[in-house]
Amino acid sequence: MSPTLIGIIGVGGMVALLILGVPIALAMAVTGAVGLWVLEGPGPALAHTLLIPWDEGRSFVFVTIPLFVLMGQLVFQTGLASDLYQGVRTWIGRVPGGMAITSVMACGAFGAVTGSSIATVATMGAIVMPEMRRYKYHPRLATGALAASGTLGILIPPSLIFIFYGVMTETSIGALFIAGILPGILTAAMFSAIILIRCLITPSLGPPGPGATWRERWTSTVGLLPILGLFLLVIGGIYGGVFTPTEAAGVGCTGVLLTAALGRRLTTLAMSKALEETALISAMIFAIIVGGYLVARFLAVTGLTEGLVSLLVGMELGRVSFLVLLIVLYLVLGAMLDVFGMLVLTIPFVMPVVGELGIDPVWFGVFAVVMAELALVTPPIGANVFVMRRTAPEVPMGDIFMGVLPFVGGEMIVLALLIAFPEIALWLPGQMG
Amino acid sequence: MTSRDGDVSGALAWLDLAAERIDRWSERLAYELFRLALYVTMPGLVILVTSDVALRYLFNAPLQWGRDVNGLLLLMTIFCALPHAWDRAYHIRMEVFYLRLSTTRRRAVDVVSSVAGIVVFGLMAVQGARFVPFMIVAGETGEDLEWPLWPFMGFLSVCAAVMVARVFSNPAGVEEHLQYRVTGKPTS
Repeated sequence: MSPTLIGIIGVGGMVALLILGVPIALAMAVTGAVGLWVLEGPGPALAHTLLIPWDEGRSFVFVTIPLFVLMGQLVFQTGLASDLYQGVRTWIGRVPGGMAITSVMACGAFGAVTGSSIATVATMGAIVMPEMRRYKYHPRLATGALAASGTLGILIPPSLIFIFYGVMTETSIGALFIAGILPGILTAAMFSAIILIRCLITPSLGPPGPGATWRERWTSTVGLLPILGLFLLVIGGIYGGVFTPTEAAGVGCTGVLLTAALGRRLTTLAMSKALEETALISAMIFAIIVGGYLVARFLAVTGLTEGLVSLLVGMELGRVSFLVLLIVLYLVLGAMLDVFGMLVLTIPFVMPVVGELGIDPVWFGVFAVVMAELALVTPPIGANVFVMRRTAPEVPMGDIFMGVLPFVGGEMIVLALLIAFPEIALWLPGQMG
Repeated sequence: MTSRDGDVSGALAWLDLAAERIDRWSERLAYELFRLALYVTMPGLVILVTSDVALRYLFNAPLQWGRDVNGLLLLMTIFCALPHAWDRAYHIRMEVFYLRLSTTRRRAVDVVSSVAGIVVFGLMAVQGARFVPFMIVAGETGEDLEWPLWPFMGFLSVCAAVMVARVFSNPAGVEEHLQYRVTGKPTS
């Protein structure tokens, strides 16, 4: 049997396991290990299965993942996130749809200290949803805005998906972080504009929120400063070449700990919960990465990846056609898989073609994250929508998905702009120190 | 009942008891490993990364062995957390079809998952144990850290073995019957 045929059987078997519901990490890892055993014998299979986790588990770059997860968890568990919301609300709560626009901005700000979209929706949803209920916001607008804005958590640095992509493709995580800033701001502006226009046309969707005195505004802005300072320290440090992303993550964690301790918010329970969630999430991500590496190694031995690359290059698709094909592929995969699974399954196949077509890997990272954002809010998986539903159980799932639709449209416009003007993502990394 | 039937039922009872003990002890072990990650290796990671940055920029004296120790702390954190993460259902699966399966079919998928886990982590545990004597003989150390690496390889092998026991005892990876949790009260 030829290695290519073994590869095709392996991929088919892996897809079958995934469809059945075998955990992604195990489905990929067992495919990789068994495939390598069949192709190269027990010795190399045993060696690969051990040495991949042994080498990756000690990688300095990988340290970034638990540290940034911990930083976001600490902000979440110590209640620092509510300061963000209050700080933004006093400035823009009064405009039509102001509370929803506030949720977009606050999610963006929370995204600047956490790398998780789900944590962003869970945190901001719990803070903002009761307020929007009180001011009689239309449930579709309220939940849709929050679920969609939560996705900013993975585009605005630090971002777990960027780290994951950077580790998988050996792309500079610092450059990826910086590349996410402008598209993140653009997405936040797009979401805010969508809310404002809709509320100007139909004011009952989002009535203006409470006003605030100048004193209240300045006081609440002072509350924003520690988080803003941490963001500037972490991202500014990476941008200026002062810190590596791993060092920035360590400094960020310590910064959040000090901020929470000074504000008397650092309880044993909060600390324990933050550490617990961090260890569990990091272990889960690590297992997926190891599974991805194992299956990628197996595919490399079969020559299947090379064959696919030759096929796609031979079709002379061109950059835009290839990306349109990927958008369709990611929308389909996003409907079935979690974002980590979606990326880990496609990267071994897609990256060689990306390189062959001369697409910048940093730009492609931003593209992949925007696609992951879409996957987070589109049915039937739409993880953010499920989290939002837990926060707003009175709103039917269908209504939340309907509420998200205008923002999906906005996201597609951002994607089109990114494809038409790659500089949106690449200009800032080009200026890095 | 014939003596043959009695032998079979006795063997089954013994297997039941063995499986129950494996479940109980491995869950406890997974929990203790998890606590080691939470209270020792992960805080150590944060402290070390931050201290290294501070020492580098404030005193121009970075820790030469910092990266090696960070790597080892990370490895320990991840492998200590993996078995408990399985018990706490922190694994991602495609649920579109899984949730719609009948109980029997779902159990069958869980058995497949369990076999996959046993194969992967079993290979890790076996190969890790085989590597230890080799590493001792070769005197393998870190790049900047002059510590032998074999105890860490042995530790990885033990954690992988605990993981094998957990996927065997808790094939669905669900937390309903867990006895030990860090921030929550025991569920039973």
